[in-house]
Amino acid sequence: MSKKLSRRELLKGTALVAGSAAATAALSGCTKVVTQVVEVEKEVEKVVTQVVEVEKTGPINSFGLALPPDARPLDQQVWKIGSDMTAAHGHWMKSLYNLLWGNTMHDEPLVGLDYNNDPFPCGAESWQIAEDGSYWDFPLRKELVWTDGTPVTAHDYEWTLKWTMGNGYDFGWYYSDVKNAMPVLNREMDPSELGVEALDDYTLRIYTNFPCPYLPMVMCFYMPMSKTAFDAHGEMYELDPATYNGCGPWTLTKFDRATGCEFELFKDYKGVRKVYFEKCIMGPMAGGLAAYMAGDVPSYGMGAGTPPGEQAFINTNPVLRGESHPVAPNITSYLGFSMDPGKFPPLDNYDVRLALCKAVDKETMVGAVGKGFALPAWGILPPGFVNYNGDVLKQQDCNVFDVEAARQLLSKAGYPDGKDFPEFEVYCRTTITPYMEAAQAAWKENLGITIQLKALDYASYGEQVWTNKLAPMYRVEYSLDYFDPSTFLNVFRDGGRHPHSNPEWTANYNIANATLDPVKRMELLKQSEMDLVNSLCFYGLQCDISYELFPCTLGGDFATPDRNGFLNGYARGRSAYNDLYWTTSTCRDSLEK
Amino acid sequence: MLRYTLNRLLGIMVMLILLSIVTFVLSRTVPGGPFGKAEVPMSKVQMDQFYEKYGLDKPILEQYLTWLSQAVRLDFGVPFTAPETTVTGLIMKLLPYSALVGFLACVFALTLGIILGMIAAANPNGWVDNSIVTYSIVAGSIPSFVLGFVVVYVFSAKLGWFPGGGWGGPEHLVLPVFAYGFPASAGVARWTRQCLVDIINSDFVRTAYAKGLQQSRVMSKHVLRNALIPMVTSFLPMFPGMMTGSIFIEQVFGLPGLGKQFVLASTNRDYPLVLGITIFWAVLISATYFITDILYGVIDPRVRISERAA
Repeated sequence: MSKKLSRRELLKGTALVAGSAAATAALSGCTKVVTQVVEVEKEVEKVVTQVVEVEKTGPINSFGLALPPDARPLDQQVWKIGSDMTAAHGHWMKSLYNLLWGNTMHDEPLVGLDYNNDPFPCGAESWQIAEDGSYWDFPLRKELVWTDGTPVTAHDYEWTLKWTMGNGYDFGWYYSDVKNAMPVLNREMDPSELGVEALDDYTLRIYTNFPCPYLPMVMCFYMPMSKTAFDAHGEMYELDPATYNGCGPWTLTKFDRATGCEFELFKDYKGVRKVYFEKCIMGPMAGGLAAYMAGDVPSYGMGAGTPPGEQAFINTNPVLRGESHPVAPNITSYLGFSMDPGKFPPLDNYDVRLALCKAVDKETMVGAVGKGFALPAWGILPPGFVNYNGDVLKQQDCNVFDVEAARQLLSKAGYPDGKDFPEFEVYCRTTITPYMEAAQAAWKENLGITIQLKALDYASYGEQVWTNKLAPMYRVEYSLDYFDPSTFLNVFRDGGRHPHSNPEWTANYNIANATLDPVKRMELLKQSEMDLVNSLCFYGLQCDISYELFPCTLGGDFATPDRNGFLNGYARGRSAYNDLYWTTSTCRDSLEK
Repeated sequence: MLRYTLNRLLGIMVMLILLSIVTFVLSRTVPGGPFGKAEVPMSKVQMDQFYEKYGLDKPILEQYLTWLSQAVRLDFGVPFTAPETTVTGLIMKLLPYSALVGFLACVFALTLGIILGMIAAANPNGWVDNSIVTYSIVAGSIPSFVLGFVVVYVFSAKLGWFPGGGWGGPEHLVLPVFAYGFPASAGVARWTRQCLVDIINSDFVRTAYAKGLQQSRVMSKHVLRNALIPMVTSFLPMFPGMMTGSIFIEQVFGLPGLGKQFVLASTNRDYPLVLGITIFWAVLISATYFITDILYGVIDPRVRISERAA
């Protein structure tokens, strides 16, 4: 910066210099003082220095996104996902139960879930419910494009849901709140009548059967398929890098049924999810704790089924112990009764079911069997879940252990001391759990009745219990799909999976669930859950707790416990592995010694 | 010889047809189906759509005949869990991985086992023999997946010498081949010792020693040659057995392969894949035994003479 001095400034400055010089000379005893005014005009340059703090960053990835300062180099920013590669489809909207990847890497869901399980606008910019609650509008982000460069529009979302619901989608039940969903799924109605509509290129409207205050949560898996790629290359377009067309942060670069897949960042992605990793590998991976310790797999689970020696090994190793994080118990295991009149007498007798429930000391059983890896299930919502009401439900009659009362109830039903009680079977999905064995022993000891336990593999169980309704009693678990009480309660509605009908409860529940006032809705849903518990169509057993180990070198939001102190493996597994990166921390070094 | 070969081939064909019928019927009789895994069951209409799409709505006899007519042209259908390819394509895709690991493990097991068996047989009832017999009992009792976890912990997690899993360069094969082959070497050692000890006590071996031949020459020229028939009968079928994969090794080390695929295909009720892999295994094992029978004649001329005589 240069500045030309004015005459006035020059004279003023010169006088000052001269005065100073005279004074200095006089003070130093100078014998000869000469005062001379010299007029000089010169250019001066003023240098201004300012200290600016520049934020230190890590490497810049393919998106142009700066990684945090403690990030490792880009070539080490690789995420691994274990997969046997034995499922058919690569898009969530084609199948859930025959799906290769259960995340949202490849396409943009309408709604995202952050590490606190809070929804955020992802494919949509926002959402708005109609005044009468009959539909929701989702304005979409205009900057999203497919990997072929064409824009992502509301028509893509509309076509996707209509196509999948019209083609027997195995997760179609999940969208049953969308208007006409079930008739379309069951081919009683044309897919064009499904309650989803593109108002224009960037506004999607979804109509619902009832006012559906939780619909944005449901939409966290609703991702568009590419109609262009589908029409050009067929239904399996998403499994070939040459025909792949997605709109999420990742793109498929390799697909091999033997060794797995590779994904790289989709450089034209302009969505809101920040992905730091540079590459993602999915395929067969080594199993076991040793492989985790060796860094071959990025996570490891520890639960009640983990051998005690291994639990002790983890707990006594300071690094592994530090890498263990509690996972929220988003799952409830329960015993169901087939209670329809005349189907499996005397299970249609309320007193008999109540006796079976009261004869089990649930709290003691869960404490003894679970050994810290389970909590008693007093209702269907697990502890820590939205609207959990365990303290109240615990006081309900069926959850109060009372052997004498149980015996009296059984006697009142015509089975004193369990005499002549039919030898029912409890159908158990996949395994006979120690909880069921404990309940079986309690029934024998406290009521004098013999109940058999029968394990069936997943497919056989589904056919015999859900489809053919052959089980008098059954043990199963249910885990959440999204973070609203309806995710657990919806499944008990008539038309859900259970082999009983309860039209009165279903009607009341639907009213409660459709209440638009959020506070009132939660109150009503608490009542619905209590009614469900007291109907004795099911009896809560336990909510399993597990621990997830992930390397302490993993950084980012999804590696941080949520607001309840739990590690959120659920939302992370359904994310695009955004907000995660490998750090330069040396915290694992001692593991290798 | 030609008649014998034709008879054997005909027998194999009949066996394959019977096996395919049994597998076809059993796989469809087992409760559950390929599309019954949903938490909330699909409606009949939904299920019918899938059955129609994959031809499962037709009578079982018609399904079988359709399958058979395609199978003779080596078309075993499309896997439900990998519809972008074919059963044959998928087997051919996975076979090289299983075959390589299994072949190397077999070679390792045979090399180690035969050497140890020969050493034990050459020193019967001494401390070396006892040590090798003890080894064969202990090593043979260790399940390969347990050994797998141990070697990953020691050589990968602690020492960092080898990768703990996954498919890659030759270094990725060291631990799985060891974990797969080491327990198998125990049986090889025991059987080799047994075969050799029986031969060593034969009259012709005593005669060979009486002629003044050295022990190494007696062992290689007379003992091993004569012990080969029982050894070949036992060891040759090891190759198809091990080369078609092991779910335990594939699971522990995260390797691709047919073993895991077969188990998952069964639990997923992937009928075409179950049937395809079963037939493939049967063909491979039949072919191995067939080749073994032919090799008898090469190894021992007496087998040919007796067949000519018959």
